[in-house]
Amino acid sequence: MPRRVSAVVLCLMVMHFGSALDAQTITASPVESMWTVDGPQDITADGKFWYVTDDYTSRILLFPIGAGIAKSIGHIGNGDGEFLHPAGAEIFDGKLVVLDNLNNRVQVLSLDGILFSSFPLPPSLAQPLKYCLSRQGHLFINDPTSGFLVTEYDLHGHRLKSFGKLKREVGHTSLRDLNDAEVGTNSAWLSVDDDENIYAAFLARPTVHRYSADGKLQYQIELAGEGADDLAAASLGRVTAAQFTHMHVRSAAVTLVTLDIAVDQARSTGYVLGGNNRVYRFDLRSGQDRNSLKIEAPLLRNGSSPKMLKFKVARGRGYFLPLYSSGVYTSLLP
Amino acid sequence: MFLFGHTQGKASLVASGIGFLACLLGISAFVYASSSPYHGPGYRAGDRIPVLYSRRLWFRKPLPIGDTPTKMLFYMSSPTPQNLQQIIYAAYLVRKTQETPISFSLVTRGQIREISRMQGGGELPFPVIVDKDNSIARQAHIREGEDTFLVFDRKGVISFASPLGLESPEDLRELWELHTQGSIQFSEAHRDAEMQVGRHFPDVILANITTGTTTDSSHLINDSQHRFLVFTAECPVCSLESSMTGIAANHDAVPIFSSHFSTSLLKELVLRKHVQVAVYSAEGELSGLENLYSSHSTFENAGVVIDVDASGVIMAINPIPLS
Repeated sequence: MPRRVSAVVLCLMVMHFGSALDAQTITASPVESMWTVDGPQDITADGKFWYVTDDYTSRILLFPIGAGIAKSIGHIGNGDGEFLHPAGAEIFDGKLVVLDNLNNRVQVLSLDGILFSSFPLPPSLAQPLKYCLSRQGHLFINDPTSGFLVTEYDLHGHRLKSFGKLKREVGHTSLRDLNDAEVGTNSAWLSVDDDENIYAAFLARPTVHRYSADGKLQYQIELAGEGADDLAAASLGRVTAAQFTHMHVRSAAVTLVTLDIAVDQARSTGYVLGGNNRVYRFDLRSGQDRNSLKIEAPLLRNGSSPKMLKFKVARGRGYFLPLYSSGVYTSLLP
Repeated sequence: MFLFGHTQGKASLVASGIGFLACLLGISAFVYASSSPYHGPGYRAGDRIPVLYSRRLWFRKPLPIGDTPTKMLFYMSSPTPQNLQQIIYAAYLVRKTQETPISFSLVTRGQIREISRMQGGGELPFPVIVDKDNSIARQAHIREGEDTFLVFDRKGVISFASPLGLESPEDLRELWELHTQGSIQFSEAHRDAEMQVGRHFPDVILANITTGTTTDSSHLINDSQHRFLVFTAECPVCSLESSMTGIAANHDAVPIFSSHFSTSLLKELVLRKHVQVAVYSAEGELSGLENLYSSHSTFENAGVVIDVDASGVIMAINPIPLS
């Protein structure tokens, strides 16, 4: 992930963005290249292209940074270089690492989509698939059904370790008999810093855990700041559809308390994207909370405000991928 | 002699007992094999699916799943809104495509009320097979309670297998296009929808859900009626109930459902929700406003509100929030 973040910074150093900001609000401006993605899941960049994972069309869409022609990698299928509802893609060592979600595998491809290698993932991974890739090429996946919060793999598919104690309901004895609610409770977005410390932001509660590289819990914090009450309300299911971003899991709509987590080690700051379109900040070392930031962005054609779904952070700047809108938005993050 | 005879009789009795037990064991094994769910691995591309029969052992006959070069089989374990939506969309594709090299078949785990109703209304132009005793699932190695979608050729060689059935109509659209045209065309439907402001509302034939009478959309645009509710959501079935509740309470707009809704389901809801206003189903594609594989509407919206001026020019398009 840091490698990818560096790439994002590199590719955008040449671009200038005007973003008004104060202590409580950030204004996310659309980057010049605009595009439409039906089911955006993740975004990364390599200096030439934005790589946007589209779950809806089972493709990786490549949008040129600056001038150029958009293209795509893969389409629906089970074959090499084909995907079935991919969850995301990362760039590592000049290769594209694709989390081929419903094919239960990871594919390592060239940047043109040619397969180098692939390895299977456990078939019972909780949806949506939550993962991060370290600078060292280690893949961390949130898989509560394994009996632990996080499982680490190398890019050959070897499981290196599992760690993170699960939050369990009273009365359960077996590690492997999690019910749906417990899987939801233990579902967490992941991010990793250069030292392979893992940060987990839970989907259903406003909580962040930090684990050291050897898998030990270092701290646990509750997100604070303006709008934190909304998060608490969302975690208890007391919000309306309009306030928070929802996700459809089969027939049920799930309220997402958090949508993503990112870390900026240079500034020792962690950022959590709330389902209420706010960014919650915390100190990476101590876990102490800082203030939260409301994201404002230009209204869409239909008059609604874009809701941010995913983001990356590099050197004090956030790159936001909006839900069912176009392009990528950026803003300075104080 | 007596002793010998007695011993022989005893041995015979023992042999008969063993034979009986072996027979019992065999029957038990068969019953167990027939009843226990399959827990093997899911299919991968290149695997071969066995010939499927409607019954096991006796009176068996191959499933009527067509003889086209490509076969699509959707095994539906439960009638989730998404699954019903897939079926409605599959019906649309089959109706739309003439002389297709694909045969689509639906196998349901038990009798499903909604499917039976659609079948009764002649809305499903493909075979629907009811797997009452789970025997087809066992033959096809489909795990108990799971949906599966398979694409295979005449020899049963699988080219695509989805372990969770079909996640969205887009899956089916892409696979359909891949096997009918050899490649997949992607659209920018979302942008298209936004680009419609300033253009004329599409001229399509609309059928009144209740009466069956048809009219042209342009005839509905008059001085007093300038608003349409167009239902084009990604999963219309998911939001149908709430949409119809909203329609029943709103008399200021003309509700139009896209052509890939089930008319029998719509009709039932209109009656159940006591909808007084005329509800229409488009008989053709609402070009630019709906897209069968994407839409202006998303998870959060059931459809779009379209305001037009007296001449039918679209003034605004806004999402209808889910109630």
